[in-house]
Amino acid sequence: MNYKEIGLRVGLEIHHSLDTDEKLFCSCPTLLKTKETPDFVLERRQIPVVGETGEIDVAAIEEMKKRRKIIYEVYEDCDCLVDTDEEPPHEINQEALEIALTIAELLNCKVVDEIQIMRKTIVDGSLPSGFQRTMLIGTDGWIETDKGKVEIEAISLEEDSGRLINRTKNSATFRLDRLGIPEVEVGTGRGIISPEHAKEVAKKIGNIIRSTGKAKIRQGSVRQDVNVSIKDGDRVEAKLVPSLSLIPVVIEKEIKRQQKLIGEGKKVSRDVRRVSPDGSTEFLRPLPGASRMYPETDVIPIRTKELLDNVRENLPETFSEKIKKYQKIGLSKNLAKQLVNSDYVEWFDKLVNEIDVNPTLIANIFANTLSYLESEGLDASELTSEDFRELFDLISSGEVMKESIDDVLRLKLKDNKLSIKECVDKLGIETISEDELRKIVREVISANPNAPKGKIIGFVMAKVRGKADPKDVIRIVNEELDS
Amino acid sequence: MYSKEIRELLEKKGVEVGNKVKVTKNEETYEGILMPRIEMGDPNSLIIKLENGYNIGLEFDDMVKIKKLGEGPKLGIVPELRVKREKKLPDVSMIATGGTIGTHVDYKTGGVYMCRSPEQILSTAPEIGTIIDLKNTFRPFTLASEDLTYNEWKKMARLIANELNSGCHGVIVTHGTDILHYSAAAMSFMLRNLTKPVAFVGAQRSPDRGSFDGSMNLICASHFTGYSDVGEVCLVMHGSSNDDHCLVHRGTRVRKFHTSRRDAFQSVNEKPLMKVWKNGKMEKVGVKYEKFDDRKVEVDDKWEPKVALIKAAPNSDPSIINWYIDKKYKGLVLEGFGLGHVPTSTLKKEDSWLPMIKKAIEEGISVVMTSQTIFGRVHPYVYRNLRMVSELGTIYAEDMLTEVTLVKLSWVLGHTKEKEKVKEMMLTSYAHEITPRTPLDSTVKTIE
Repeated sequence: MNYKEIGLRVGLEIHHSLDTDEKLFCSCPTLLKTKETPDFVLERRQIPVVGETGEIDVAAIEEMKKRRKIIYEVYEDCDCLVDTDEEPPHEINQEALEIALTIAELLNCKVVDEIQIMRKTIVDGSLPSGFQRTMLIGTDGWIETDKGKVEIEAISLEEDSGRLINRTKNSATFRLDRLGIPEVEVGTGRGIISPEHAKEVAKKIGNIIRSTGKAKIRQGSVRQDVNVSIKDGDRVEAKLVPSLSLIPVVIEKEIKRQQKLIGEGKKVSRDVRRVSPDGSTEFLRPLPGASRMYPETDVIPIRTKELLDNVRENLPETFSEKIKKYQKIGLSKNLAKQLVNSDYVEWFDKLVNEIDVNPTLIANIFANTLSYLESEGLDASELTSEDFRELFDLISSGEVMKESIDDVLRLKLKDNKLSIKECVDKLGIETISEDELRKIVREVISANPNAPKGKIIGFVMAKVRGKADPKDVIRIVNEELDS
Repeated sequence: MYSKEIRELLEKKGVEVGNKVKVTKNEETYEGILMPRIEMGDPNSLIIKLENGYNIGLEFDDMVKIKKLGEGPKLGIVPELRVKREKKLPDVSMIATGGTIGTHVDYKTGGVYMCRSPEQILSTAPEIGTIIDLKNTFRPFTLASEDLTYNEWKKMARLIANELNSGCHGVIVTHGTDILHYSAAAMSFMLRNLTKPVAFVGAQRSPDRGSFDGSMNLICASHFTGYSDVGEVCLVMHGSSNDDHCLVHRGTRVRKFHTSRRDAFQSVNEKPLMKVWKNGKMEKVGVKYEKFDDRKVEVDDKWEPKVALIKAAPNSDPSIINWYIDKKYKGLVLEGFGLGHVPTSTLKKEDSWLPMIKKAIEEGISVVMTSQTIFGRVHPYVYRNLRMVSELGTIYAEDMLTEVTLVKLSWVLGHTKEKEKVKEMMLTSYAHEITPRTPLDSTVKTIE
């Protein structure tokens, strides 16, 4: 398809939670639900804030009487009076601010002289205050991609909202653990030329955010919205595309949907659409107008000049600095290069310091195994850092051999409900003890009394692949044949 | 307000706040609406509202160029509820005095404005029009509650009395929360023969947000003033952090206990009068109250302004009392420790409060003792140190709240300066501010 000809325009909005010690406007930790039942349950209602024209009609009164009940699940260890709208916000989290400024710098944005914290009116109840605190950090940036420059329209820093747990006709329940965790939102401008290119751009922006080492890496910490329009169509927003690999699929399907409507002489309406797992979309709600924002007067505006000087002096390592560093810990230059170009360089940095596994083995999984699995059509972005931690713990304790890593991850990606340990159990690839191995070796030798050593080793390996270390196999075969 | 440099440039270029503008600085260009400078932050930064709704600050220097692109939106509009009279519903009048409940945020600028009329306050709770017939609305003054004085209390008392005497079932007073309980106490003493409900209502969250708590407080106060059989001054505020019910506290038994929570107000030494739900359900909690009757209320606003509150503290210097003596004060409330202690048997003679209290009383000043424990009753005899203070003629204020005692002493001294008469009046309960017996379950509310 000639995307230029059909007038394709694609815009991405990438939300990424930040891994700060504290929330954006209070001192609560950025934990998620730590126990089964909430410590408190609050019941609230929100008033529709009156229109700017100053008119209230009778219908509005009736509507107000039917106000929906909003239930908040509150967790003592990660929510406080600020989260529950019972106390004004504290000073802004400097750590989050510096991370956001760092990302703005890495995205070549013009940082504003004075950040104004805004209240964005949110009517769905997901924030107990009725608004979300948000601030524009920078505008007019760009990133370089394989297919040219792509504009970064804006980067903002905001507090996350509560998680919707349940919705009925008369009530909505939100869990407040996530509320208040800082997140950055990056919006792209012109420059995305094709659906595949959109995926590359999203990946690149994600990498840049993660290169700060301060991005949360857990399920749900990245959220991508994709805006699509074509000539004679109109802007449609696909909300919460769950993975990078689905981005091009969603765009292709949306192009076809708009083309079909245009072909039938129908108008494309400006909608927000929900994304299904196959990349198709369904109507969610009309695209809202410009959000209503007004200043958050409980937090003073922030001058950026001094902060920015500090941020510029401490920008994260560049890729070539990273490659040199990896060579020092034993990676080949080639592998180090592959690693920095993968999606997983930050996870590697994190895990390599925390677990006792050969760095080359870890790098190989991140740089090669995963792309190999992706080439089989699996979506490796579903794996979380907890999954890898579990895998490496099993490797380090000898419960998983490196030969069976592919199989474990393949099964995990096919059936994400299983834990890594459950995958290992299901594949029956626990390692065997030295006694069991010796027993097998003896059986093979007695079944093949005249076979040369190489053959014996081959037969044994075929029986124990993935369950025993080849070095052990050779040693025991030697011992048994020599005895 | 913007700096002088910015104001001069704007004037020169014919640009006004609210205009659509294009601002260039070096190679950067921003288009949007020029916003007024909020009080906080750098007055030398221009604030521009961009098309995406965000405001940004642009530091002003010689390189900044600004051009007017057109008129912007009209700023500073406050919505109003145009109330339709509903004759079948009970008559209630409303007095708006200021405070958070009476503010409005202009969403375009973020500027906080005091509502110009009660109708603007009602726009946050239009249901009220279906609960009561809002007879009259007044705005005698618009002040944050901490700025009120007894002069405003006098105005308030007369307005309330007028409305009640001209047929209203009750009156709602919207008020800042900081001294809400002082005002409620003042009205409790100034409005004599009161037999109708008067509800003081405030808000701990501002009305710009969906979570505005004043909305439910106003609705519950409407049910209370329109339909209850109470004939007292009360405070109607959130009963918990939930938006489901309000508590009706007696005006002389309530205090603000939290800087920011919705349920900041709690009754002291007695339970609240009742619970009121948004749908109009009212449930008595157990305290006896004055019943509704259609009698004429009288205003008794005699007042002695020269009354002060002194809080005892470790290492405090009692000679502060000298200052009040010199300034010809007529009454002093001492907020002592525990049962009503101040330093008396100190190692250093000059640290004892006794000589100063003695001197004040000899100068004709009425000295009244309350306790900073808040809950409980003071007692003049349990300890020797207490006896020493009370023997000088200090009046021990039973289980009256300090705030109420302060208000009451001004009111009593407005009537008499005669020592024995003052003591008698201070220890007479005029508005249930003193109770001879305290039930066991009226202590500090545990958080549910």
